[in-house]
Amino acid sequence: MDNAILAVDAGGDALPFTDLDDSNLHHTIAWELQEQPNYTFPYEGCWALPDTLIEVQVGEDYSRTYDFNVDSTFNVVKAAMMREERMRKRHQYQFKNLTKLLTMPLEIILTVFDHLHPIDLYHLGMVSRSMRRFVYSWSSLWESAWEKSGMPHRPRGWTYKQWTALLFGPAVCDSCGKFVALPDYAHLKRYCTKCLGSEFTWDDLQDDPFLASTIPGTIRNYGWELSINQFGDSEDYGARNKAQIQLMRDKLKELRALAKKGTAGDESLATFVQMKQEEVHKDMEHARRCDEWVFDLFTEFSQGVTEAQRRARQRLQKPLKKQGFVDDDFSGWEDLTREIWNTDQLVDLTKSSWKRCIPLLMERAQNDKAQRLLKERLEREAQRRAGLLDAYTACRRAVKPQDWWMFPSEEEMLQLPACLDLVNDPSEKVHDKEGFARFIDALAGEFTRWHEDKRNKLVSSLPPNFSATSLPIDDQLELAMAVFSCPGCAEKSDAPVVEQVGTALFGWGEAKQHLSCLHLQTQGVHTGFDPIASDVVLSLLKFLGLQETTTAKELDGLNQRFFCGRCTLFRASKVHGLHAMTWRECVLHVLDYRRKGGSHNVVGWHLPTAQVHDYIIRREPHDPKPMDRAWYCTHCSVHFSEPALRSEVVQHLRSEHNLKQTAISIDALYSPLERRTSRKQLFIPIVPNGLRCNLCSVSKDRKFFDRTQMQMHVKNKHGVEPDEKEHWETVQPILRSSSGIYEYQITSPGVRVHQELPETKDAINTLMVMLCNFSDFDL
Amino acid sequence: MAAPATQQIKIRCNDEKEFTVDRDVLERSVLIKNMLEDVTEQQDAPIPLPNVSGPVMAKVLEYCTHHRGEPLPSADTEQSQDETRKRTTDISEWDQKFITVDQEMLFEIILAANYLDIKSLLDVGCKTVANMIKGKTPEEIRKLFNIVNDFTPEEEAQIKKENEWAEDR
Repeated sequence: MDNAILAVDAGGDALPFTDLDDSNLHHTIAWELQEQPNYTFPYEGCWALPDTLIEVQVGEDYSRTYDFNVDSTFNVVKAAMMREERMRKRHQYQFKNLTKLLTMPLEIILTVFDHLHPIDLYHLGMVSRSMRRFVYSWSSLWESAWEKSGMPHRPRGWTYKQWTALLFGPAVCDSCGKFVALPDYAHLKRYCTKCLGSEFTWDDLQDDPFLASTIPGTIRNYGWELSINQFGDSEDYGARNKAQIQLMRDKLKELRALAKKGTAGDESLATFVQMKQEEVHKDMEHARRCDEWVFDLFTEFSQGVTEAQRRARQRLQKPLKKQGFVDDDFSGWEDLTREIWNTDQLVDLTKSSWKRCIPLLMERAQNDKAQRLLKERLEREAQRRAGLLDAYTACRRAVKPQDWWMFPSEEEMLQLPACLDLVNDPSEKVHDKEGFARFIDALAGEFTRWHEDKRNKLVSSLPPNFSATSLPIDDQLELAMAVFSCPGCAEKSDAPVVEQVGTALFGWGEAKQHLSCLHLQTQGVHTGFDPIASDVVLSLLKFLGLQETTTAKELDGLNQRFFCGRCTLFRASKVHGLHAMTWRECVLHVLDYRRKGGSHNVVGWHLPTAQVHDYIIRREPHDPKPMDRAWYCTHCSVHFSEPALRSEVVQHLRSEHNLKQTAISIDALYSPLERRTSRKQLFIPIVPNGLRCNLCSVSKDRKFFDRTQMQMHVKNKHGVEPDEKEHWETVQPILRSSSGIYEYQITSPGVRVHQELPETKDAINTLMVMLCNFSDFDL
Repeated sequence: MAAPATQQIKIRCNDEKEFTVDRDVLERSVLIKNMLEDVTEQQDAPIPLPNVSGPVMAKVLEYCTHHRGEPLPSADTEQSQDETRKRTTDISEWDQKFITVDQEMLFEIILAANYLDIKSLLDVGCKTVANMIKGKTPEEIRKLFNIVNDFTPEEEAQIKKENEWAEDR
């Protein structure tokens, strides 16, 4: 760097053009920045020692490395005065050359100079030798200028030269000659913090009654010392110079020694102390006035800069507002400006500093605007979605529950192209409630297309043997073998198959209730024909000797119960037995076992005897379970958002619809959303020649026991000695079994192997063969 | 002796240019006012003003005509004007517009105001020039006056230390 270029004596401290050390160089640059707004230099805004490298970050992406000390100082008095003068004359026309003035009569020159501020006279004194001589030879100029300026008068015994140098001079420590120093108006010197700490003491000097009052304490305000973190504190008030303390101690000691010798000494001590106290009092009063004046000046200066920044921001905002920016987009500007100013340690709002600031402000405003627009768009979309959903809910509420299946789920509805167009409409158009309602009403055709499409997909998934029946499509969907499943429900849920809605949907009646399953939307899968479930149904049909064209309704009408022929007998209530299942439960049972461990690849069934079947029908729990909160009134949509228990629905039917006799299958709809509460299947002891108690009062509900249990039962419950001929009768549980008659092997979906086995006439014997194969079986 | 307000006075500039002006306008100049008061009889001969040229006089008369009727600064008002000057060195809008002339004319006006003893015009001119100096750094002032920095490094160091604590202060 060429020092000569930078060695412009902008600060008025007249540094030599050569041999500038680093500190002088930076100091000069700093003053240059303050006083020449358009001046650019590589250190951008610092005016202190290059002691440390400091990396400062403002915001997220504004980072710079600075080569300056943490603490730095600027002369607020000078900066404020210069700013005031420059601001005042900025709109007045200027000559680039004013040499004519120097040819004017002295009287004119003095009249012109009479209008100058003290800082201007100070600067004139820095111009050249002759100008300096001229300015300082006319004391009336200084007195007049000072009178008009309103600045504190020079201290007692000080010349204007000294006073202006202290007020407007560079921040050089008068003790060590280094930067950065602040003026102390009590001692009328500039001290750096280091020298202040070494040369001054905060001792209260209570050991001598005269010391504290005869030595001035510092009045060195931190108000204009900037640091990275904050403005300083008030610790520099009241410190006393150690050298002065020692001198005063010596003087007082000397006077006290004189006083001991006679009365004259007493008088001289008292006179000296009084004189010193008055001097210190006057000096301190003056210093306090200076301190208050500078503080006010600094406050006004800071406010001026802040106000100038605000006005500059407003000027910048004006054209931007025409480009679509709003006040909210500028909300971060004030803080950002302050951050930049503090980080860059800028003093005043100059063209160059503002020029550096503008891109960052613009970037912030653009980001804020983009975020605002995005936020507004998202809010608008959310409002439209909410409006659509409200209207959609109202639309569905107007329909009875048995027809809700015709509507897609809310998520699927929002994905309809028409809805997407409405929600994502870039315009700021606002729709009212009626508008949304009309829009939803207009989507009726879309909804019809939606469920027809779903139905067609179901139909297309049916295997060829369905179409081979030559039945109409609607009838094919009602066949018992038409079992569908939702792959999403089957894969995602950890619930037992019997509780999971969607794993086996029998016919169109159940499948249509599942069309708007969430899994279907999120995974893009579709409910489709389930060949394994269908094969299980086929095995049951074969077992019962029915045709493949048997419908689900016909099979339901048989009301037949089955035991699984592939399950091992399990022990409950000290008896081995099996669960009695409907044909639908048989399908779920096989699917459940296959999912758990792959067993039941070969299915087989037992049919209970009429006696046992009658017992099962009477004692088994209801299906579906009345306590499952999945019931709806089919006469109104009162349970739209909150399904009820069956008893609640019945109560509602009686109270609201005056139905004294309710048919559950007609007046109530059971439609679990994702999970259903499965009923507890009735456990039947499978005991060859099972025994039933004749002494129990409700003969129809008598349980089946083995011999040991029956003996215990008769003895304990009825209190009689068991008698085989009188107290119980023998009951056979199994009428016949598919084992030995028909076995249906499921190898893989779509591949079925029918294996006809030799017919077994005695079903019980066959079962016994099976049972004897279980090692843990214990009669 | 108070003369009628409509009395016309002739003046002649150093370039023989003559002006006929109302007396109250001319009396903005303390110099001419005193001259007119010293003359008891009405004269047709123009008052010679050897230090003012015609164009400059025209500007001066423009100023005087605009400010005619305003109270002239007296011994009593001298102080109050100073006080006003203390508060601000601002120049009124009309005066600013009036004084927006080239450098040559500006200093001619100042000299004429000084010669004719028109204190308010002199102030306007001098304030205008002072405002061009105000708020400038030493280097800027050097450029303005085309002055070369002739300080030695030692002298500058001395200047820097002028505020040092001095026992003999």
